[in-house]
Formats: sequence, structure tokens, C-alpha cells
Amino acid sequence: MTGPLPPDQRFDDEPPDLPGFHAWRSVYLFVFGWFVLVVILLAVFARIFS
Amino acid sequence: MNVADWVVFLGTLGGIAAYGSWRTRQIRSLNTYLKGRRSTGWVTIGLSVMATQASAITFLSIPGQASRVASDSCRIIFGLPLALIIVSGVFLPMYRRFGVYTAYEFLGRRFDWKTRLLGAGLFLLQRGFAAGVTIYAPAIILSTMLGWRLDLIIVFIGFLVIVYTVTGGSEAVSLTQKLQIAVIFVGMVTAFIVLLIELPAGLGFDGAAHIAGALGKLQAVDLSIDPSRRYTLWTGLLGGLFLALSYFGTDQSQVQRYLGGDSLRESRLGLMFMRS
Repeated sequence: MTGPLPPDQRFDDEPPDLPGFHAWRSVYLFVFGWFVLVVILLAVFARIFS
Repeated sequence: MNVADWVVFLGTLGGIAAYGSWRTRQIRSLNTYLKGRRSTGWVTIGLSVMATQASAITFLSIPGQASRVASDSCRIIFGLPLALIIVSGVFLPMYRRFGVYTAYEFLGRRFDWKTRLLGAGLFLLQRGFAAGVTIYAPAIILSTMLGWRLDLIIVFIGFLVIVYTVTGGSEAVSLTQKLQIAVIFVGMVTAFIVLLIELPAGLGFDGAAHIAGALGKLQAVDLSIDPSRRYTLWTGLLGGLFLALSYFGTDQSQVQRYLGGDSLRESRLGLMFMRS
């Protein structure tokens, strides 16, 4: 089956609806920040016990 | 094996599969069969995605590999958060917008049937091989522990999985995986507590961590930019990003999990929850 895809815009603008997060960009930033924190903690943990 | 072992073993193997089949016995439509009832919440999606990537192989091979080559191989997951953000922001809305059942259906609509066939064929081939190993490895353990015939255990496990998957479809898989990951978490916490209790007298967590550190087992982050080093933060970020993108973005075993979400929001939150 080929041809142009039927766009359905209903799914484009669903907000995260979470306390403190009004846009998905802020959720992604939070997840990325959490990841950076975990990497830093891993490095600190390794240094403390090396 | 003592009574507790048998309860966990039979409950996980038989009880969860029976529960999945029973809860999804009403499913009749193709849409529900392939995508679930589209009422799955983000917690179930997140746990299900987590359980899908954590097969028995994960728990049999990763600890052994980690103890042999320290935490080198774990660095490959550094690219995972970035990949999930891309999947959540780009892949997921695209799949839902066009209402596809599979990632390969999207390929067919975007390109042509040959591309769809190639993607689906490669997935089935790859998954077929992977499923063989995923069943074979724990079957060896069970065969050794119980003294049962290996080939019969392989057939039994395969049959059990086929029964509840075929009867309940995507929803049965999500339901059973939620329970399976609960068993896995309880097992992990129990193992950690037992590990702490069984440490030699006077050693303690602090002493054990120092020994692990001295043996180089805690070097999870390597910032080296030497291209000859195989596992660094940078190779983990780059290699792990594309590895995770292909797995979470295009592998139907994962795509099916988040396509069953009640809404785009639930699917996205499920992926972010799984990452966190």
C-alpha cells in the first residue's frame, strides 16, 4: 500500500498534564538532566571507592 | 528447592500465563488483539517496555559479563535516554498519527510493500533466533536444577508462551509482563539484601565497595577520547543511541508495547517513566 499518508493532527498537541510540566520539552529536559545526574553520581561513587 | 522457591517458580511460570489468558479471554477484534484495548496506562506501558527488554538472558549473561570485564559493557546504555526522547518526540506521534498496527506497516505506507516486507522479514528472522536463545538459556538452568530433560523443558516453555500470546494477543503480553517485572524487582531487591547480609563479618558495604573499586569493577564512566578504547562515555552515547533507536523505535516487540497506550500522552509518559 503506497501513496500519501492520511495525517491525523489529533495526536500532535496532547500536553503532558503533569504538575510542573506544561510542555513535553520540559519533560525531556528533566529526563536528560536525570540521566546526567546519574552519570555524575556513578563517577563520584567510583572515585570515592577507588 | 524449598517451598518458597516452588511457589515463585510455579507462580511465575504457570500462574502469570494463566492469569494473562483468563483476563484477555474476551478479546475478539483484530484491533484489540494487535494493539490491546488502547486503554493501557503509562505505568503498564513503562513496565511492559522494561520487561520486554529484560529477558532471562539479561539476568544470566550480564552479571557474568560485568564481573569479567567490569562495567565496560554497561556503558552501551548511555545512549538510551537520548534515543527514548527521540522515539517519544518523533517516532511515536508518527505511528499514532497514521494509526498503524506495526512499525513495518508504516514503512509500507511511507515507501512500498517491498520495504515493508524486508523490515518485517528481518524482524521475524532476528526475533526467531533471539527467542531460541531466550528460551534455551533458562531451560539449561531449569534442567540442571530440576533434573528434567532439556528438550522437554524447551518445548514446555515455548508452548506456554505461545498459548497465552495467541489467545490474548498484545494485551495478554502487557498484562503478564507487568507481573513478571514485579517478580524480577522483588527478586533483585531480595538478592541485594541477601548479599548485604551474607557479606563476611566486619567487611560491610563500605569495605565491599572499596574492594570492588580496587579491582576496577566500579569504573562505569570513562571519559577517555582515545578511539582505540572500545567502551567510553562517548562510544556509549553514540553507539548506544543508534542501537537503542533501532530497538525501541523500529522493533515491533517494543513498538507494540507503546502503541497500545490509551493516548499519545500515556505512551510518551510510559517511555519516559521506563527511562527514569
